Amino acid sequence: MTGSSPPAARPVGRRRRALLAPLGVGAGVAGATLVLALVDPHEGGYPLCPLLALTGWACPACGGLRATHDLATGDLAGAWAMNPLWVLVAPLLVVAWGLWVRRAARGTTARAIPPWTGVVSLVVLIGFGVARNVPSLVPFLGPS
Amino acid sequence: MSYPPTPDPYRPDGEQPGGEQPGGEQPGYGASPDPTPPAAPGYPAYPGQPAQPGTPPPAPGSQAPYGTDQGHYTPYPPPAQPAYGAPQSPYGASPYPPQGAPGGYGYFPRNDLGIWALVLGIASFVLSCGFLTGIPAIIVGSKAKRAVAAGEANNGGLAQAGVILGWVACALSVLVAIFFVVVLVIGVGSAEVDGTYY
Repeated sequence: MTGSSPPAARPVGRRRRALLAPLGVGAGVAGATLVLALVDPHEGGYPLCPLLALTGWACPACGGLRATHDLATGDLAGAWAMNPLWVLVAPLLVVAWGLWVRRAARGTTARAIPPWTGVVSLVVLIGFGVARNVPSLVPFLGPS
Repeated sequence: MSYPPTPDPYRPDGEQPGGEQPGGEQPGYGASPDPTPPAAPGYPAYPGQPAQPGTPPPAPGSQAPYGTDQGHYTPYPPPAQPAYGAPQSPYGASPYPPQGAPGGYGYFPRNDLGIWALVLGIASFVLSCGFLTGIPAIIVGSKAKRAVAAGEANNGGLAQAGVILGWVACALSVLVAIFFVVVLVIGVGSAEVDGTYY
């Protein structure tokens, strides 16, 4: 229930408040990436994935922290070996975040994302998660 | 008049809600051949709809009873068909595809929310860090349920499934977090024990 905000009463203040969310998220992600770049997840030290601990399976996000570390330190091949899907998706997320910042700065509203994109993403995610646990594909898709 | 095929797809739908109403429906339609008022007497059969007066739903909704009434009107009233064809033409001019919504009585502009809720809810199990998409699933799912209550969506089942999956994923995340803390404490404790006594 968004109350009807006074139209153009204080547009500058509202813009600044609208920018708070994307910039806050950006700062949080940047901080987490910095931590990942400094503390190498290849060496351990991060909580173990519960799925991996219980079943030994790699979920679609497995290797994501290591891939982020490799991306942050410029090792594209290493990142690809850890989680190729994340290497493909992370730049898209950065672009989406940039669009979010631009929208907030201009005060425009987002076009609704069609729901089939979500369904397609889910199918890709599940397919990737299954494929990277197939023994013959582990060298290509799995974190090794 | 792009509507001739419409009574058929809605006939099976109309039979469940329309089953109890042939008695109440007939006087409403027989008394007032005027285009717009019939929608009002025809409405009580669909309690979910009153939140949005003046939107397309009356068009198919008012047609469904005619399919069910066929047994009572021994002649399927040919004069009534043009009479109801006329009030529908304004809806036909609207940008909505009112007849296209599968299984619905009109246009549901916020069905996206329910789909997204279910997608996020499933994703919170596919990815093993559940709360990251589980919390959005709960938020989007409750928005979708509100949209259903307002008559803007008709996929409350998807929304409910998304909300439940989101809550379960969050609960599992909390359990895992507690488990890690316990393991950490026990591990540290045993390491100290190991170090002290061995």
